[in-house]
Amino acid sequence: METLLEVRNLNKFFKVAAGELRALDNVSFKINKGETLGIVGESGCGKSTLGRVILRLHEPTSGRVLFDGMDITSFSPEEMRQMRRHMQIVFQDPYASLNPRMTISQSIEEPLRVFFPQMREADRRKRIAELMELVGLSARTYNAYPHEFDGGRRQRVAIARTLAVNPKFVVCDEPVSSLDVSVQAQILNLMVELRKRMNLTYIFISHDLSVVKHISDYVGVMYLGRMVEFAPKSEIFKNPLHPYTRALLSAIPSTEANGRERLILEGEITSPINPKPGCRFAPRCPYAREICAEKNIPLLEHSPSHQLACVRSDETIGAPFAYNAPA
Amino acid sequence: MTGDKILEIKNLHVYYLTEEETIRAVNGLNLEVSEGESVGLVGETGAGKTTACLAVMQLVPDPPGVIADGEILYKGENLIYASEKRHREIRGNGISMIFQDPMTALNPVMTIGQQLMEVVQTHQKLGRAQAKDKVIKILEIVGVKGDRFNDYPHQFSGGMKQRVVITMALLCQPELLIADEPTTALDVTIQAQVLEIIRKLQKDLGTSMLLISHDLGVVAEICTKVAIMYAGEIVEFGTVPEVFRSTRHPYTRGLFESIPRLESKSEKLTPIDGLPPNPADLPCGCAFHPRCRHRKPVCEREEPPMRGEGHIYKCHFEL
Ligand SMILES: Nc1ncnc2c1ncn2[C@@H]1O[C@H](COP(=O)(O)OP(=O)(O)O)[C@@H](O)[C@H]1O
Ligand SMILES: Nc1ncnc2c1ncn2[C@@H]1O[C@H](COP(=O)(O)OP(=O)(O)O)[C@@H](O)[C@H]1O
Ligand SMILES: [Mg+2]
Ligand SMILES: [Mg+2]
Repeated sequence: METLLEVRNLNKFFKVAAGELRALDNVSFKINKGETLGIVGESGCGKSTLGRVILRLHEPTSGRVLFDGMDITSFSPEEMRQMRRHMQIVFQDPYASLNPRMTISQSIEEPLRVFFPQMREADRRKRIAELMELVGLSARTYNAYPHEFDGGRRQRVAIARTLAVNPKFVVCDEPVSSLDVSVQAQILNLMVELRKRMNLTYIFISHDLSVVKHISDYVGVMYLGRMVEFAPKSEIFKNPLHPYTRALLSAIPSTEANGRERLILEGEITSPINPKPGCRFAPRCPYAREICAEKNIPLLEHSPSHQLACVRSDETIGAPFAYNAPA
Repeated sequence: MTGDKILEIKNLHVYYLTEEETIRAVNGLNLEVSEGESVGLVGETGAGKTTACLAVMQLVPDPPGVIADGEILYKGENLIYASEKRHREIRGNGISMIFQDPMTALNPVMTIGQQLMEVVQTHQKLGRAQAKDKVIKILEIVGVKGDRFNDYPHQFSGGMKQRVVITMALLCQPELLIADEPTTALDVTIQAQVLEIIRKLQKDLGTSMLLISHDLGVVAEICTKVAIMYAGEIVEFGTVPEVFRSTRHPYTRGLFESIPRLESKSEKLTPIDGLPPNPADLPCGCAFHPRCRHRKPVCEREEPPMRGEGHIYKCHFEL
């Protein structure tokens, strides 16, 4: 398997009035070509920041991003601009990312004009029509405006714009989170199909574990700026080890619940500003001991394919918790 | 007494009239909640869930909203014909509503203590000290420490604000609690906490509930019965096991097949074709027919009958 993207010791700190906000704290991982990495965690844990720093829409405070073997963190703005052709992003709110004064076709045309200024008018039109068909937009809507579209079709336009430049890699930042389930399923199926057809590599960000399970090959679980567990999808869902991952899984309301007891966390996510040393999850963790608050707990190899940032796994492994693992 | 009907909605029609069009938000809705029961109302955006709740609370914005037809019986009393004074009384003591956005119910420039005291003192004849004891007792039941009494809403996180709103609703000692997507805006671990509180309230206080959600999982965990709403009416109704295990209506089936589930192995979801209908321009016949896999010519012409007993569904065909 060939690595497409590698992130090494990535940090992103924001200076805020109260001090230093650690949005990303020493995050490292690799993604293989053609695979999807799902990133899950609650709001504020740094998912969007991770996506943006990888594309250098935010500059990292420190650390490296290697894309196709190139260290893009050292690229000049012009080099980075060229690179963006290969690295794209789809946002949660397609309305905010589409210009309300441009028609659907103009929106899709824009990236073509930017990246392929020499493209002939006729070729461009042909390409727009192709893209619209690819994402399932009827040719009749060529001159429609975004306000005439519902959320699902706006998201299709945003996806067409993203794919216009034939990228290799796409960060999908909660692309289905604001859609109703029946439409969400349409967009998820489309994204899976496009990945296969165009050999894309995705980072798929979501707070919804069922969605992540559906689309990912690997899953990374984040908590307050840190990656706390990272493993192939089957491992994360069949054999979750971090107490936070287990709590997340147990918290999902299930149609198969049958009155199971849940593992319900106490308290809420703590502040990412000037965090204390130690495991960020310790204040809410039912397994926490003194040692958890004493020193930083790094993400280490638990087994060759399963990385974990927890020193209490001896106790958590085998401990029962309420969750119906997939068959 | 359980079993007595606390709320009966019969053939309710609520429209929003604008200059260009008539938006038929609720279209012949029938629904009942009995004492001690919790009923889930499930449907996608625009199905008319919030409008139906507002109608029960007699809070439909007018203009543009009008209750065009139907009855809303609260313990047998038709609220549509009751006076504004009676509506306020019922909102104070009979029916409370929790909204998706807690800030709809909270005043940003008053401390939560002031707001909660006001609720108790307008609806119940209690002295200051007694009222405060009561507020703090309920705050602690829902997991807000009493020492936050003098804090302002902005000092609370989303989950904590929603707990304050639940406290506000409970202070009225409602017989029926209507919760409109109370956890939709919350993170999953916080949602689990709030759902746990709701479950505890059902057990300890026996409050009847109408819970609106688009999340079938939330309904499965909280409710005994479930109503599936599409284009302003109920298309399937039954106990949670009936509707979840022997799903009848093609729309309900479509919903289940659309949701990625943790338990399932399948890679492919089966979405429902097309889009929810525009309530200003509803399809003829069965409102679901343009998206239905089983449609026949009759579906385009005639409104389907309600089939079944207890577990009911609205379709031309026995499924
Ligand atoms: N531009 C910014 N300035 C200051 N803080 C920020 C900025 N962007 C994000 N943050 C903070 O960084 C943390 C992570 O945010 P984000 O990456 O948006 O999380 P998520 O996408 O997981 O919800 C949050 O505490 C957020 O408030
Ligand atoms: N104040 C209003 N004016 C005009 N239309 C409205 C108003 N409130 C809701 N609607 C419309 O009524 C329909 C039902 O909305 P709503 O009851 O909010 O559904 P739900 O809660 O199921 O999403 C929608 O088409 C919505 O746009
Ligand atoms: Mg985000
Ligand atoms: Mg609503």
